[in-house]
Amino acid sequence: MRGEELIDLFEDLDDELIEEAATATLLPTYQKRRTLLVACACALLVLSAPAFFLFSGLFKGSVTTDDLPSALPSDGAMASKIPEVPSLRPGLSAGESLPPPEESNVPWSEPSDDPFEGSDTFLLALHMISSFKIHVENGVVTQVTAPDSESGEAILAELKAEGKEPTGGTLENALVWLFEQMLERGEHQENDTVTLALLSYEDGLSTPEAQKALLDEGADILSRLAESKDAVIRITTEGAVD
Amino acid sequence: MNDAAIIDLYFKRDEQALTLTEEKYGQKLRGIAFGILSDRMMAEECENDTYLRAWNAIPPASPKEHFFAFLAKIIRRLSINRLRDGARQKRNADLVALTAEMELCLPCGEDVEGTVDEKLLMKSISDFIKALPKEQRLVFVRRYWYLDSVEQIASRLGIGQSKVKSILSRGRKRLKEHLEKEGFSV
Repeated sequence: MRGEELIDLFEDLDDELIEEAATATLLPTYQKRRTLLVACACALLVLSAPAFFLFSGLFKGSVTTDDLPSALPSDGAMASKIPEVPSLRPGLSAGESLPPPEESNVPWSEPSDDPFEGSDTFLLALHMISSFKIHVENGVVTQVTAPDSESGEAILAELKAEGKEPTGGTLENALVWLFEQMLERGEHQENDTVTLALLSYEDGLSTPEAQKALLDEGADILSRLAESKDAVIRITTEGAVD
Repeated sequence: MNDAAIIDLYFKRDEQALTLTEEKYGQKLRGIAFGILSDRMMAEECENDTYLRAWNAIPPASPKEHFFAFLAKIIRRLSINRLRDGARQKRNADLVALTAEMELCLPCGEDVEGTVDEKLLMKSISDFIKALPKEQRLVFVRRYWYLDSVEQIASRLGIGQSKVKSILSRGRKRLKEHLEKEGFSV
């Protein structure tokens, strides 16, 4: 059977499919973004409304302490009515202040959700249909390129247009955005393989254990993302070639 | 007026059925014909021919469930035939390109022409398309049933052209595999 006959054959496509596609439109990305922005703005307005009215009243002087009910008891009378607040920490009596932070022996650390924090400088490759090279310096993505991959370049351009610049951020962000784009563009079939490979590295990743930990972390992120998109993808990792 | 009531008018041979059909579906039908022919006048001629065919076909046909699809199939066939008559060179070139594209969906078998049960084959293709995610399904039907160009699909669905191409390329490959798995060698 030739393609021309297949065009004729397609005439008998299921009626429901024909009717569904007759008026089909998907919400364009910019509309999605606009809807999200409007929703955020509305939520912000609603949430900030009480504070706005309170502060605007105070600043304009329309709400003053004179407006407080005159029926309130005087300072002395009021103080006698306030029960003593029990100490919240053993060893401290009411009114005693907490020791300054430097006196406590608890080490302070910046909270972080970045699983790759502290990773050294390395070059990572992500490959499915599109291919990317991700250069990371001290935990920060400094360059993402798609050498010899037309679809990869298109993905990078699309991410840029969406304001998702993979450079300057965390490796996790870059991996998620790139892989998500590949999945959304339908660049996969069941049991397709995506490969994460460590191409080069500096001292911090010189041990096989450190390399494995890095790749495993990356593979884990990709597999969770694939699962959330109902995509059955095999993820393989390759160690450094050095 | 709902489709069932319009069909009843066809059965009663009441010519108001044609007016109501035109009012309800005329614009969509012209859109299909114009998409294939790129010629407003020819599209309108195909639309009128469609009403005439529907008038002659109902009864005995009674497409109460999917009246639009019934009419759409008629106008698609008329438009493609008109296109093949060769009056529209540019669109004909588009059709040739589309034809070559569709051949990629077909498994390469040794069966002689005519041995394939076309109804079964189409059922299998419909099942395959129905199982696709919505976005891919719409892209596939718009391209191979409505014969839209990649640019038109991208603009209609608000997605990139490269994404449309990627979906089509993957879809063709998967359809071919699906047909092979189902035992079709066309």
